[in-house]
Order: sequence, then C-alpha cells, then structure tokens
Amino acid sequence: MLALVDVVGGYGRTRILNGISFAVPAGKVVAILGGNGTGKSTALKAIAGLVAVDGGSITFDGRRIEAVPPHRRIGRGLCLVPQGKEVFAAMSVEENLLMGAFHRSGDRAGIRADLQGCWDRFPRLAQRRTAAAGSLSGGERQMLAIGRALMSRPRLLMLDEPSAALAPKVIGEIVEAVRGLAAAGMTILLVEQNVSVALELASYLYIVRDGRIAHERPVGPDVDLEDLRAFYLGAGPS
Amino acid sequence: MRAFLIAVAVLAALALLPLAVAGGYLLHVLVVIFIFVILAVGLDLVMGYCGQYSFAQGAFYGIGAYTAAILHRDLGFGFWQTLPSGIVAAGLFGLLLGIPSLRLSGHFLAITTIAFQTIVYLLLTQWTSFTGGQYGLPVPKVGALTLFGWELFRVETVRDFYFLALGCMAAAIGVAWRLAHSRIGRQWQAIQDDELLARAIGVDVTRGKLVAFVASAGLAGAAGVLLAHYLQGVSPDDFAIWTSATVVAMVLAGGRASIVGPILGAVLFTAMPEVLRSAQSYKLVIYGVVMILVVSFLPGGIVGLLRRERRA
Repeated sequence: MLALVDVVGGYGRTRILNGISFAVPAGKVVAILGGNGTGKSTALKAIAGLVAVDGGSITFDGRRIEAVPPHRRIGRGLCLVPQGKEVFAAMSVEENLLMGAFHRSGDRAGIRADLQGCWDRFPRLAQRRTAAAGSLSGGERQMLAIGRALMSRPRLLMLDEPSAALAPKVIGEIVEAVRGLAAAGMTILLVEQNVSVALELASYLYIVRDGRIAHERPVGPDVDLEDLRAFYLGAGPS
Repeated sequence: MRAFLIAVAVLAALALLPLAVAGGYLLHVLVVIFIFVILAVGLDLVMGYCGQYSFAQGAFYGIGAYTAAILHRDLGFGFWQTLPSGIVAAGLFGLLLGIPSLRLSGHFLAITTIAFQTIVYLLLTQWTSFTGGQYGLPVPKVGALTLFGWELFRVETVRDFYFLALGCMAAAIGVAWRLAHSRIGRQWQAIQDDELLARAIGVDVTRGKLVAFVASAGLAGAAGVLLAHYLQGVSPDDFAIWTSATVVAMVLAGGRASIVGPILGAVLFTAMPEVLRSAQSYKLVIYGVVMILVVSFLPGGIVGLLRRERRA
C-alpha cells in the first residue's frame, strides 16, 4: 500500500533520512523501531508531507506522492498522529474530533456517524465531550488524537510513539485500542521506542539507524527481545 | 442566536441615537470608534484567530486612505469607487506581508510587520510627489451616494457620515463574524494552536495564513477609506506605528479571537483619550499601565473576564 524507496530528506540543510526504504502492506501493522534522533519520526513526517523530501520516492496506492501537498494527502487517506503535541488544547474534545473530519465538509451524515463511532470506541472521551482538550490526561489525549485521526477516515494510520510519556497501565489501554483498529482491518504504521509495544502490535518490524533501515524482520514467536534491543542500541551485528 | 439578537439591538439603538442626541461631538467620537472597531475586528482575524502578530494594521489603514486620496486626485473616483479600491489595495499589500508569515513566526514575524509599517510610513512622509508628504492630500466629502442613478443617501454632515460609518462597521463585523465562524476560522484556530499539528490534520496552512492577512488588511483598508472621506483629507501621522500599537492594544485588552472583545477594546481605547483629555500629558502612561495590567492579569481580555464571571 505504501512504499518508500531510498528516501532522502530532512529539515533545511540538515539531512536526517539517508536513503530509507520500507513498505507497509494493506491491512498490516508495521512498526519502525529506533533510538532518539535516528529519523523514525522524520520518516512519518515525510510521508505526511511535513518534511521536505530531496530524493527517492514515496508511493501510496501505486501513485507517487512526494509532490502532493500535505492537506491533499489526508484526503487520499494518509493520516499522521504526531508525537508531543497531540491535540488542540484550547478546543473541546468534540471540536478536536470535528477538526479531524475537516476536509470532509460535505459529508455531514458520515461525520455524525463517525463521531458516534468515536464515542463508542472511546467512552472516556464521550464523558468529557465538552471539556477543553488541554485538561485531559496524557492517555485521554492520545485517545483523542487517534480518534481525531479516525475522523479523517484514513486508510493508512501513522502513529508516532503513542506510548511516549504514558504510565504502563495507560499504555495497555492504548495498545488495546490500536489492536482493535488493526483487527478491524486498518493499515497502521507505528513508530516506537518501546520495543514491547511494537512487538505486541506489529507483524513486521524495521529498525532504523542513522536515517536508514538497519534491520528488518517479521514478528514471530522466535523474536528475541534482547537481540532486538542490541540492534536498536547500535551494538548488534549489522 | 442570542449574540445576533444583542448585536441587532445594539446596532438599532446606535441607529436611533442621532434622533435623541443633537450634539455633534458625541457623534464624532462614535464615528472614530466605528472606524477603530473595523480596524480592531480586522486585526482580530489575523492576530486573535490565526495567531500571527501584526503591528502593521496602521499601515493597511493608511494604504486604504491614501488609495482613496490618490485615486480621487488622479482619476476623480468617488466613494463607491474608492471604497472597493482601498479594500483591494490594502488586501494586496496584506498578501505581500502574509508571505513572510509562511516562514517566520512569533517575534520574528512581529518585527517584520513593524518594518513594513515603518516603510509604509516613510513612503507616506517622504515620497512627497506621490503622497503629498507631511501635508497629505485632500479628499472630498462623500456627497451623494447613488446606485444605478438613484440617489440613496447624501453624506454632508457628521450626522450623515455617522450613519454611513455605522453601516460600514456593521458590514465589517458581519464579514469578520462569518469568516471567524466558518471553515477558515476553524483552520485559523488550529494554526494558532499548533501549526505542525494543523498541517498534520490536513489544514492548508499557507492558504489559511494568507487569507487571514488579506482579510485583515482589507478591513483596515475600508477603515482607511472611511477616515479619508470623513476627515476630508489624509496625512501620514494617522497611520504611524502608534496607531498599529493602539489597535493591537484594543484586541488584547478586549479579548482576542472573540470579535466582541476587539469591539469593546476599540470603544475603550477611543473613549479613554476623550475622557482623559484633562490628563493629556499622562495619556501614554495610563495606556501603558492599562496594557501591562491587562496582559498580566487578564490574558483573555475583557471578554475573558466576563466569561469567567459568568462561569463563577
């Protein structure tokens, strides 16, 4: 569904992606693991169009998208849940969700149905419908960010470290929510530092180092956590 | 709906006011307030809603006013032609100033707008052959307003002008309200909150910012045309940085991103100098103190205070 081939890019003159290549097949959950500053978030931003791509190709549904402006990519079904700043703090929970459906202005009935779907999926958000998003807990904020992304009816959902800065119990809830989405057939590209979260969700793993893929493998019962950690820390066999 | 009814009631009361008040002084102060309301509500779009600090509202105001004066001088334009021309000219310059906002933000953008404001002011004062320099240019009274050959209204006295300015202000508030509560208004709030996140959810940030700058400048241009015809002339000092700073103060003190806030701010900051006439030499000090107090203790401005009261 999505394929990156030798993508080079970064911020201004600072090159962060050094020829990264990976693929996300439809209906699968693919995880990208890596330490800080390896370029995994930048890769997601490049796919979303938030970072300039200077070389290589990004293909979505068989069409090149490097030149498509970011606000058009969302209409094609690519949606990123960024890390750090997840929600519009001053807007209410409901307004945040509606912002997610922003490009579907003609589709009122569909938006209403999706909003109801969100309340069903995340009952805690339903209880806090009118609260300012800035007053939510970290876990609720992450749920809201995922809910908002779903409002755009994505076909590929990109999650940038959904487990970052959350308590273990809350991480469990987020993992459950993402698992539910995957079970319903959503294609998901997940960037994580937390190896166990990635192993729980993904069926295929890439490990990024220095802006390119250093290792890749399917997730199976034979995955050795220690081995992966070693890769990820840059000490493993290369 | 309630807000709309209140707005209609206030406008109706203002429309009836000249019947009750004979004095030209009050009407004059109100005309000035109406003009500043247009400026402040316009700035609220770009600064309050979209979060782009602009200290150039005075420059757009001047561009509107001088467009009216120059087009009258060179082409004999009357009010029906100067008004749209002033709006378009200011809007185009707004587009120009919007371009740096695509790359700069916060203080850096504010500095750029100050530079733009300064350049416009220097051109108005120094390019004497085109702008008349410090002496400015004459502009005629609005006179007869005709539509398809029918005379709608004659604008000769302050009282006549009062109605014209009131109508223009109502239209400007209507336009701003519509923009702020439409799709583009929601985009602006998303951009203000977090630009990257706005982009990530599919907001066309480039377009959003440029529309905000153009709309804001266009409204300032309309205010400038009104002022030019009202004072029957333009001179640079009405369009200096001091004016821009006052409009920023109106928006902040009134309450940004609320439309109502900037209206209250415009009333406050236009009425205050009149009330403070006896304390003329302390005017700047009082302004400054009000500003500091508002920014420190009332980040939501007067509107924020009222909302807090209602909740309490």
